[in-house]
Amino acid sequence: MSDRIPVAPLLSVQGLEVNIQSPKGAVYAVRGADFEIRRGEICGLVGESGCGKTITAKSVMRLNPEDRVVYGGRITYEGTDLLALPEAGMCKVRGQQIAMIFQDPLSALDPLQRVGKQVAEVYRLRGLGRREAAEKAVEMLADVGISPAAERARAYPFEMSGGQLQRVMIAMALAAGAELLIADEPTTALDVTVQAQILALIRELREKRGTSVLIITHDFGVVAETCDRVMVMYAGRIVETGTAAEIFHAARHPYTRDLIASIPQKGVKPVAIPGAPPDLREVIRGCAYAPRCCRVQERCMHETPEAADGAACFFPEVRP
Amino acid sequence: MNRRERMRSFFTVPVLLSVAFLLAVLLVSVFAEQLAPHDPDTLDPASVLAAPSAEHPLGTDPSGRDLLSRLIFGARSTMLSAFLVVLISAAAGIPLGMLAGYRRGILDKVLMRLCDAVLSFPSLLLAFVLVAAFGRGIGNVVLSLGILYVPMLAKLTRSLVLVESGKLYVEAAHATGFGGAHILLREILPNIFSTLLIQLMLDVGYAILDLSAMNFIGLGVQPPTADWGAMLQSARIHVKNAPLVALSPGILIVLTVVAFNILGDGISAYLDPAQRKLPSIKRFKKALLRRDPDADPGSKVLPRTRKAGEEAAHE
Repeated sequence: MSDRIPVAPLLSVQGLEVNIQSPKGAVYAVRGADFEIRRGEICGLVGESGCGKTITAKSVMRLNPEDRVVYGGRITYEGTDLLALPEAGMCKVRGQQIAMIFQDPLSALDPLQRVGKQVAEVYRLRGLGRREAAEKAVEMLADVGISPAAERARAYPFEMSGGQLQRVMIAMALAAGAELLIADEPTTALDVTVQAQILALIRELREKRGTSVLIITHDFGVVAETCDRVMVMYAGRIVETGTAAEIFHAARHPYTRDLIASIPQKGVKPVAIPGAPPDLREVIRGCAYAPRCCRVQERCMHETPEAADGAACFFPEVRP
Repeated sequence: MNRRERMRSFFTVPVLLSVAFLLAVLLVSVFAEQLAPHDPDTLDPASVLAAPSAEHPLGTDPSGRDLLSRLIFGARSTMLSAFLVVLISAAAGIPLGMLAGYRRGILDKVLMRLCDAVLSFPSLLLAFVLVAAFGRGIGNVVLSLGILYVPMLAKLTRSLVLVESGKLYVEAAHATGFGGAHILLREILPNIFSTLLIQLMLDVGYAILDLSAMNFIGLGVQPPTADWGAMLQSARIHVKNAPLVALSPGILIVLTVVAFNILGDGISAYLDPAQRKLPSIKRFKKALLRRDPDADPGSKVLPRTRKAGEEAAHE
């Protein structure tokens, strides 16, 4: 553990709080999330539905409706505090620094434009001429594995399959020149073989271009296959961070252990986690997982555990 | 389906009939002087409400004027003023609605309450007020009606923009770093355009009817100017003894409105690539140049050796 070289991370999120104002009262969707993404790293962010994964990702790109969202904490990208950046500066970060791909690529593309044109528009945004942009778009489509690229560039989104469209989305992100790609459940809408191809493409990007990737998912299969490092989120906080192997085989936080035990596996009966996640409209005292935790003690009900050696827990599983 | 079949299925009988009818109305209104058998304003007290004859193909009106000639000249006045009303309302209503729907906030609230205020009055009543302020005459009536059509169009545009803004492709465009103007004009506008087009076509019909009401009261075109709406209103008391005089302008109004609606539906279907049955304009041109209607450049598999950028350069 002592041989870590201190390199400034590409993205650093410190004490992020996201508070969504709604007519029914405020929702504390993210409650002090801390994490960082290093250059050329593929990071996974896992957790059950509604734990704040997508809100966290959108906060990094400031895509949440700004009139209804209050941020706290810091999001630092290459030394710039993104939360303090004016909207005009943020426009330069979006796409050119950080890009995002979505769960449903068909609805994430303009239905009325040919896909090649949409990729070309991204090049146009970066100042290229019409002709040059169109040529580069076809090259980029070929790069992400669409063939024959010149012909498929003339297709409309509804004429392409989900896997192809996700490739187009990735092509747009790369065309913009992003160094960090946020993939919000990129393979959920795809079947398993196509899923594997898209994940292979994402790994290839990292190898070839050194792109950092943040994959948001609730599928541990995706994590195991792709990620260098995994962050587990619960009720708006990162409860455990570790390498994929650590999380799978030697998780320390009780929530991670329970989560992995609940995955259906061959020959093992999955164990459901009792209870339900906390209501994010309420203030949580103590550890958010305490009411469902099997190792809960008196202290967990009053104090909020800080992350120590990867796990935010007072009584973590001790590694052998 | 090859191209010939696709084109055949777009040019359905209703669309073809509408296009033919509207083209005929357009040509007649442009060449009214050459086509009309008589001067539309010459009175002939000797033959009032005459039956159709060789001299007067559709008979004469209550003042003895040739009905066919009046219908031909009426087309010009009616079509031109109805188009202008819709054009004025579109020029103001669509941009305002787009801004309100995209920017939201205080601008949206102020604009929409203004629209509500205008819509809370009967529109013809407000038109009277505006014409009273501007002065009578067809120009001012057109302007007034154009202004009064703005709120509905602005509200429709705003709600369409609201729906589109919530869609993922707009968020994705935002995440790619496109600015507001690009998203609004290049992504949202094309996607709401087909719905707006249908509304504009409907508005042409409403405008013809509202204009005729204004003309009837005498605020718009002044007698003896020929106008379908004015003719319909002035001849309606003779519908029993001379049905042709009263019905012919009405039938023309109905046919024009229906033709516009059918054409609007056809065009909006063409604008959606998933529904499109006709080749795009570019391919259409290419096909015409090549004089080979069965060649389809889109579905031809390119030889592998061809350089990647080449095809796109044709775009």
